[in-house]
Amino acid sequence: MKKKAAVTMLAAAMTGSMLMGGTVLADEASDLPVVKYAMPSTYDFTDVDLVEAEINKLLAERFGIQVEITYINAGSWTQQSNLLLTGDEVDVIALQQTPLATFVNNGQLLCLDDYYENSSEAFKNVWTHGELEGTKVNGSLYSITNFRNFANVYNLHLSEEIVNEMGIDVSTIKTFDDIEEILYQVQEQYPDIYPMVGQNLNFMVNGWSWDGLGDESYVGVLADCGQSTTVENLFNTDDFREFCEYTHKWYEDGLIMADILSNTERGDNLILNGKAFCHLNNDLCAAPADGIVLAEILPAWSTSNSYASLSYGINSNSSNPDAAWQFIEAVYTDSDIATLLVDGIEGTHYVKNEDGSISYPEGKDATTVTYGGAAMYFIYPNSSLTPPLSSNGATFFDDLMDFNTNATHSIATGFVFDSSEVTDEYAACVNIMNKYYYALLDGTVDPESTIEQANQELEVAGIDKIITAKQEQLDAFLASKEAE
Amino acid sequence: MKSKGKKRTGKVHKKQALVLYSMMVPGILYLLINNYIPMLGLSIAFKKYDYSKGIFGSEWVGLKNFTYLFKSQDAFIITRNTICYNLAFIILGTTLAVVVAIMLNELKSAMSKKVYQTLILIPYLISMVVVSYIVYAFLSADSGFINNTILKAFGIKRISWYTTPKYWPFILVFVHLWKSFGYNSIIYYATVIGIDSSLYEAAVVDGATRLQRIFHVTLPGLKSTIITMVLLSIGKIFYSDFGLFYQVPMDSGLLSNVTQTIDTYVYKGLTQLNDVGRASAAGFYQSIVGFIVVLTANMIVRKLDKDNALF
Repeated sequence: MKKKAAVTMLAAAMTGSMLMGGTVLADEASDLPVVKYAMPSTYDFTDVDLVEAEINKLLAERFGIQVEITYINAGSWTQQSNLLLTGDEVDVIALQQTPLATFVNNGQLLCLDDYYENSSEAFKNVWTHGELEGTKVNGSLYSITNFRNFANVYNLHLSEEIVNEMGIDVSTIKTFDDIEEILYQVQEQYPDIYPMVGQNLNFMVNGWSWDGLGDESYVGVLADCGQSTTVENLFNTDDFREFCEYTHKWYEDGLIMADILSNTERGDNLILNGKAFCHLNNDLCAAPADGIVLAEILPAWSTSNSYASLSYGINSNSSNPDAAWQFIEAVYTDSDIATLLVDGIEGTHYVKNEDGSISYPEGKDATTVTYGGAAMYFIYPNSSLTPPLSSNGATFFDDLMDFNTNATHSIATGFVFDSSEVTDEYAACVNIMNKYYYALLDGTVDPESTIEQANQELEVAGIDKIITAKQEQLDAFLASKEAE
Repeated sequence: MKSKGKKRTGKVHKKQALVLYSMMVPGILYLLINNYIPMLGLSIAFKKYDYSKGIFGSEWVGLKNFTYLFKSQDAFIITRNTICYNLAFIILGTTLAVVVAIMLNELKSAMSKKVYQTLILIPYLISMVVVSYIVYAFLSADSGFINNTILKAFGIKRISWYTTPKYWPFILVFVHLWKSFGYNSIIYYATVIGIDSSLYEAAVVDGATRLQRIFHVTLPGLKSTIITMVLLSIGKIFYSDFGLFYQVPMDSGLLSNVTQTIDTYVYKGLTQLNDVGRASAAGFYQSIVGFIVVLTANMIVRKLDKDNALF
């Protein structure tokens, strides 16, 4: 008897909780379509529901839709976003890390051509024709790029303290020879620190003057900041060889941290902790951290996939793509909605300053605030509609636009390499590039002999076939661009 | 009369058996849902997977997804590494675990038995990421314990561990053994405890020494467990411990000739491509070959000693 009662109770409890789940859903359900939106985040926000409710008030009024916001930790983004795309778990999603062409080849994205044709004037004014070209695959629009720095400037980050003590004029540091001279001086005067370290983890610097044409493994590149029209094996370019000869010499002479290939710390942190003097870094136009001064080595330039490396698209399995497109229009054109999405609620999550910039509430910062992604403005769809952080300056987003316009652009801007015809060769070459790229870049091995060995392996793996395919696609792309 | 009686007992048996069989239902359901239904997904290995069409709607491409595994010159290296490391793990790992299990059994004090059991199990519970940093603390070129303390004491020049492939086969085998021997010894130890104590008593009466007891009572008692464990690990001979081969060498490219296994190769080659079909093809290849190897190994065992075969 007792047992039976227990079972009944258990069953009752289970049905009860199911019913409760049902009622909660019923409460939320209104007539408006709900768009599920997912993007990566480097912070944990606890007030997402609160902000979502505020955004939904505006969305209901102005666009007739509702949204469900999901932030996914940037570290698990690739896996989680792929899972979301297998079904109808998400409508509007950020696209990054995986090349855009892969998403399209996998049938993960909806074609946006018709939606764009019929979109509002305000939306058409957000991106120029050229900028939209950057997220087209095979001539069709599949995603909308987001607002961020499209170019990178390559700086030497130096310790301000040591620069001042040694009386170095950083504006005179322009070439690798200049760097070398100072490195030897630092080695002599500060024998206990690393004269040079990597930018982060195991890499000397994130990219340099070679354009991988949408391929982060650099199997077949355009040299000379994307100004060359010939696709080459990275290891055969003068740019790369010169870089490696310098770093190898520095490594041999003990100027570079011996453990660079297994390093786990950011170069900036090593400088600020007094363990290192300098490192190379790819930078946005933002100011460096306190205690670090910059010397520009390679002026700003943008790679061919700069627009496609982070963009927003619609899941091909989405049950309501029309509403999803409405949401995209909303976040790209409505500054109230964009500000709520990026910064949260005024007074609770940020305070406005007189000059139009914003600050975190008293005693809070980017990591402790309960909502507010102004510090990762470069991930949101269009943060140019929102006020910038006071630490970046009131005119930050205008500066950023100037920075983008003034940078050198790769001649292949907007070109997307489709690797589907050479996948086998590509997988093999990626593995070989992984094997040698960082070791060479960091200067840990002799460039001459290692490049010879790497090239032999690449040849067997079929790099020529990939380069030919890349060149053919690029020529066709350039020809079509000229025809326009 | 007789036949009638038999029938009745047969019915009772059936009824009893039904009750017993019904106990299998949850287990079978679990196997079905978790292990058999997902096998339909194996078809992805022969398709060009399209997210908008789903698993069954995607186009068939035959064996196209498999070619990349065999085309490159790495194919030989990754297969060799996977198999050789696993063979070393099986042979050395089993020997070490059995020796430790017997040593545990020979301990007299119950207290020290418990302490040792716990201590040897700890490495097994540590995450591979943490292990990789423990290894790094030893091997780091600048600040590592080995370079700074041991080699310095002998006046030997620093070794750049993470760029020198020749040391890594030993390092990886050592790390694997260190991490896994505790868990395996406990399994063997459980069998050792189960050996009938009268056998030992009889051996003592016959004047057997400690070593003789180990060789003539304990080891034969362990034989079937060892065979089962070895057969199970042979089934996984085409798989590798991803953490061990990816995290512990810190993904250092220069070491890849000795650290690259099928799993890490597929991971590194395909994270860029995001190609579900090719990834499944690799998994398919591993499980099919593993299946064949287990069948063969079991067949050999059955030929040699029928009682100890798995099936």
